[in-house]
Amino acid sequence: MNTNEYLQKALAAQTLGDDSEELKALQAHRADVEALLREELNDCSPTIRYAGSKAKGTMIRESYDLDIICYFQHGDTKAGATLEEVYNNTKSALSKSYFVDPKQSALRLRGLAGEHLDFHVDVVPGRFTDDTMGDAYIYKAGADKCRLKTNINVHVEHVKASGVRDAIRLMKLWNVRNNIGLKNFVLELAVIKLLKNKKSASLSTQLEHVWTEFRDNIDNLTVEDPANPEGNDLSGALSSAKAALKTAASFTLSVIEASGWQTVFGVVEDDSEAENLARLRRVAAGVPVPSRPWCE
Amino acid sequence: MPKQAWHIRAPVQFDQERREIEAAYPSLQFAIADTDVVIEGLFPIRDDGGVIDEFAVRITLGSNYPVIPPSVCETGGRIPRIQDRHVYPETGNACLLLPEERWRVWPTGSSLLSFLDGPVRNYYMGQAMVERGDPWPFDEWSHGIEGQLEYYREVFGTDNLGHVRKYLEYMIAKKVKGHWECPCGSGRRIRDCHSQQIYSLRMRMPRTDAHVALNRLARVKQVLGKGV
Repeated sequence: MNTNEYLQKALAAQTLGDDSEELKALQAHRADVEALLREELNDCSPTIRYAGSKAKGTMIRESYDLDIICYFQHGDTKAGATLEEVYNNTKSALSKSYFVDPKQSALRLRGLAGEHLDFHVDVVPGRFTDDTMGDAYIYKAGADKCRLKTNINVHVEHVKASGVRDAIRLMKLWNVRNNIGLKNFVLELAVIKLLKNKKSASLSTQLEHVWTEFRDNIDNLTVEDPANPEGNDLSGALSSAKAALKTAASFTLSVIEASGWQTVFGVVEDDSEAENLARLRRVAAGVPVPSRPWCE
Repeated sequence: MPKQAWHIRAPVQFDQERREIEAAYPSLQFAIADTDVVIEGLFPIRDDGGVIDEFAVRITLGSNYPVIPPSVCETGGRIPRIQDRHVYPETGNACLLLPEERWRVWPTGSSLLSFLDGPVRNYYMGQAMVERGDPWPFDEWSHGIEGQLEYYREVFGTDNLGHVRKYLEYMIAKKVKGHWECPCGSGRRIRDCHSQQIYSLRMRMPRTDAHVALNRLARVKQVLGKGV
């Protein structure tokens, strides 16, 4: 198994298959949340959709959240006249079935009976800026400017069209395993930017390039929200993680050189041997003149 | 006086066979060592998707080739040198096939390429599968004389050495007449008994291979002490 085969195995181990229990649980929670919101906010018709890694195709088994947007129509004030009211009314609706932990823009849900979930469920309320249902404003609690313009379609498309989603998923895994704490959205943007001219490189080359840039040029790295380049300042989120990124990247490159890739992403099951055995069986089945070994 | 090397005795055939092997197995190289022709390198097991596995091998064609098949040895140290893996412990040579069965898997007069494509490939494919936990793909003969008796039972339908000898003599005979006694021991005439089996075997089994089998049968008799 060569390095890129190994990395593909590591990725495969992080993939939640359509039949996986995790994905079924995630879908069930989404259905519950959507049903609750539609019931509690029955005079509105919010757009409720997956956001985050599920929508972008960058989910990893080791750490994933259920991100749901709940956007109301432009001009619809039934859920609240202001974004803060929309945020609070959505929170009240969700509180009927969940304990809600309010974050800056998202409402994080926990089971009322202390139910433990393997993932966070975050609901982000907002309102579309116009009838095209693209851009939306979301509430930003405690910020100088209490609203933030965003566009989930642009975010999803930016990642989906990047051509480097495998690298993103492995970098997310690396982020988790090294306890760096960089926000996934910022990490995604950084990886896409750094691999802009390396889309056709092998996965191992892409990852080594990102780590090398983190190690050698992290101070010059900036990222922009493609949906709101000037209005959404992500510099703070990146700056606070720069030192950790630099240290972890330097360490990772060293251990790859000294001990190989398994030190980074762990041991993966090598099923190439099983595949080879299946191939051998197929070849044996087609042998025109079989012969048997013997010993005197 | 020692026998001349095969490549000296049959230079045209040697050149032709060498070209065939080099085209089909580019990872094998020819060399001349005294009176032997030695083929060394990586022997691949392939399918449409490419090489599945490969073994480092040395194939030696002695001066008595092609009467005596080449000896084949795995040189990479990968296959244990034990009889259970069909390797002669002393020499490391592969036990590719039962000599009596040569007529079925690599008849006299066949090319060297067909030796590599047939018994050698089957053997290393089997080794690759056994290494991965599978049984031998086409089964294996028991060791020693028991394997020979299995062969007699399979081909002639009997391991009675007297009957086997009769069968082999009929394979060697220039003609076999229908009124002769059937070798199966029934006491009937061939035309009333195993005529189809005998004529079919005579068409497929070269007389030289039947001779080899008859000579080896004498040794079986010696070891078992049975009357022939």
